[in-house]
Amino acid sequence: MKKVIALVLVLVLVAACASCGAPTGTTTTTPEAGQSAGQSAEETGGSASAEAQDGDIVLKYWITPAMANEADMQTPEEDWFIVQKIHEFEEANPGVKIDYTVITDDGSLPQMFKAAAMTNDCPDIINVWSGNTLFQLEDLVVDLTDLISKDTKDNMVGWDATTLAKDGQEKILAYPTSGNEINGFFYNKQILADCGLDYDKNPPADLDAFLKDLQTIKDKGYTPVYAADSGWSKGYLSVFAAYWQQISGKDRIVSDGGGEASFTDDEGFLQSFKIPADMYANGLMNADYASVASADDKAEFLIGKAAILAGGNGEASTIVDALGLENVGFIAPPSPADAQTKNAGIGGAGQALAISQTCENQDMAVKFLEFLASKEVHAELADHMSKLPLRTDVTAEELNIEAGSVYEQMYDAAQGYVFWVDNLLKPDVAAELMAMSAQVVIGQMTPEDLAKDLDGVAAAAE
Amino acid sequence: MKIKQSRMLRREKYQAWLSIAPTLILIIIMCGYPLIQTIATSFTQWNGIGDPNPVGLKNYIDILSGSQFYLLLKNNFVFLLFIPVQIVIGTMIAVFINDEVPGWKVYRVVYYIPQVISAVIVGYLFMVMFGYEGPVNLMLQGLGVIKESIGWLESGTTARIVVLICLVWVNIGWQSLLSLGGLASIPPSLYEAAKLDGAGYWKRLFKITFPMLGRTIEYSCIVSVMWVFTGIFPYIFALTGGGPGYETATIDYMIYLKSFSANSQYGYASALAVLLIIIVLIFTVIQLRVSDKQNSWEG
Repeated sequence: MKKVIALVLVLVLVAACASCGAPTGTTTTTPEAGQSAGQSAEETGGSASAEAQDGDIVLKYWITPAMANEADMQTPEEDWFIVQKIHEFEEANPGVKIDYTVITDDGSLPQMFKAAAMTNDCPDIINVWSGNTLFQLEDLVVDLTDLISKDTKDNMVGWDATTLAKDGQEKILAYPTSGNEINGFFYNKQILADCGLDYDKNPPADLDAFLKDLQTIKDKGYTPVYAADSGWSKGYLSVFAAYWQQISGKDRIVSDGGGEASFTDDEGFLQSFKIPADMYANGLMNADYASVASADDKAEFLIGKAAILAGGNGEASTIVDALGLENVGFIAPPSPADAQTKNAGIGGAGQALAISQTCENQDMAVKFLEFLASKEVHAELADHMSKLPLRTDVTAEELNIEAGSVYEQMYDAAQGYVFWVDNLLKPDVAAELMAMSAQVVIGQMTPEDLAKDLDGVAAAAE
Repeated sequence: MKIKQSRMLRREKYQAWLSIAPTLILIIIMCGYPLIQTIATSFTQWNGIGDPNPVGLKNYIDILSGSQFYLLLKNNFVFLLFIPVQIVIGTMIAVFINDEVPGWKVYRVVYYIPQVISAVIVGYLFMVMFGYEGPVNLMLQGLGVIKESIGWLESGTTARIVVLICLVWVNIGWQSLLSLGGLASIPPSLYEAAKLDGAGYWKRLFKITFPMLGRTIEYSCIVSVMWVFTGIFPYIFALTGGGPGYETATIDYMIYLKSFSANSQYGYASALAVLLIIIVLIFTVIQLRVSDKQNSWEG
């Protein structure tokens, strides 16, 4: 009897394992309202309209929260702006269905995409971070260089974030999307006025003037600049790295990261750390730069204790809500005297839309991405997301940006952005830079020591 | 008779194997296959796309010849220091609860709460507590111990101290629960006999209670050592992110960084994982040998 029971148990177990090993069905399921918020990485999605009929072209599209704003997140997926646009495209193209899946954890999307590629179950279109995250998927996505329309290429910025330069060739791997970004210094007009400063009328002419102003602010009892590492080198990569770009330029940064040139000899690199390190050492920056939690990394500015915040346009709405539109301004990092590029802030497109190499209807996928990149839709998207447009033919007036406001200041600054330095470096070098930058800013490590460290990593990464 | 016994023995053997076969098959599939796959991947260079590229022992050579691995190992060893603190405090709490001190029912619940809180919440909590304007700095300044706030998470030494405090705080409840179970197995007659012989509270504690908890403490040590090498990742991730720099990064944390960064290096990460398995096995064997000698008076 015991033998029989044992045999039955073994057979049941083997049958269960065999059925678990069977391939799963489609990645798409019928959407259910409000399921997207707060769930694990892969969400339910669906078709924006009726189920696909035989003969229809079906495109599978992975969407991330970069295409939805905070208001969207509170509503059912069917009401999301991007889903409405999918619906619009389907109506304009009968016989085309777009099955979307919302991936709430966009950080895990590259891993999920690689895993999907291994099981031959890739989506056709993915929304992915630009730069190195996109470039690591080079072998899985389509080279769009010859597929993008001239109008889109000529009237859009952000191609540096989606163009892979390798072995003397350049390949455009995705459309930049969602919106442009710009980072610099937000300022509290009331605090500056209390210190006798007015950056709307008289912004600092250069870095020296800026540092003098910071000392004035400090003497008045305010925290001059509030910046934070936030666990991902936010303060350096978003703002202070602009000095590296301003002094050395993009080509030198690429050469440093590739091992062809040396970080140790790169004055721009060294200055980009000496400037914030000196500010920190002289009490012109908050003492908790390296340790403040990311959730609190602008609290002091929002409650009016700090005069200036190192941050980006993605934080503008929170800042405006706290301090009032009339009390907030924005400037790009004021340049040192030896800068090649003056007063340029870090920016560029942080998001990209790529087409998988397994997509069977690449022409239709390109048509959909061209639709999203068109002036009308892109302007709506930028306005909806409260982001800066990537299309140069979308004006501030068309986005209802109030003249003289912080949004107009950011719009103007974004026209002359310099690209994220970590996206110009090899991933190993970028990772080392991100791990160590806070230590340099707070004086636990010298810029020269970091330069030597990065030279070693760059040489090993070759 | 002998032939009958042999048949009976064989039948029992088959029945025994069949009984454990389902679990064994599950373990082989769920643990054995990934283990073999990891070992195989450790001899390749692979970023998750396309086929792995065999590179022989390159990953192991790179790991063992670089300085970073020894920093990670050092951090793992430093974090082992929480174990004796956890054992002492946890066992003392168990003794007090066992003695039913006033409020023992409340303490029994309160001390276990850290075990059920999510590791991410605990990490964030400690990050805030030890922040520049956090309660710890405020308290130390209020007591006059320090004049200016300490950047606890800004230097390697202080960051490791914060992690150690966090690990002790999290595990006191588990240790006390374990020790309570061990205390329940101590025959009361031993204490009665000791009392009759004139042994006081502390003498009974150190001469009877702690020695009798030998096996419990041994189990706690083995599990805690394995946990330090394989289970503290969420606390490191949430509290320090391995920083400052890599000063609090551990081997399992580096496995995560190497696997899931922009430049996935699954081969390198797999090699680290294999080395970690070997280290944990060595530690476990040593502990078992030492504790077998210590507790060999048990039947």
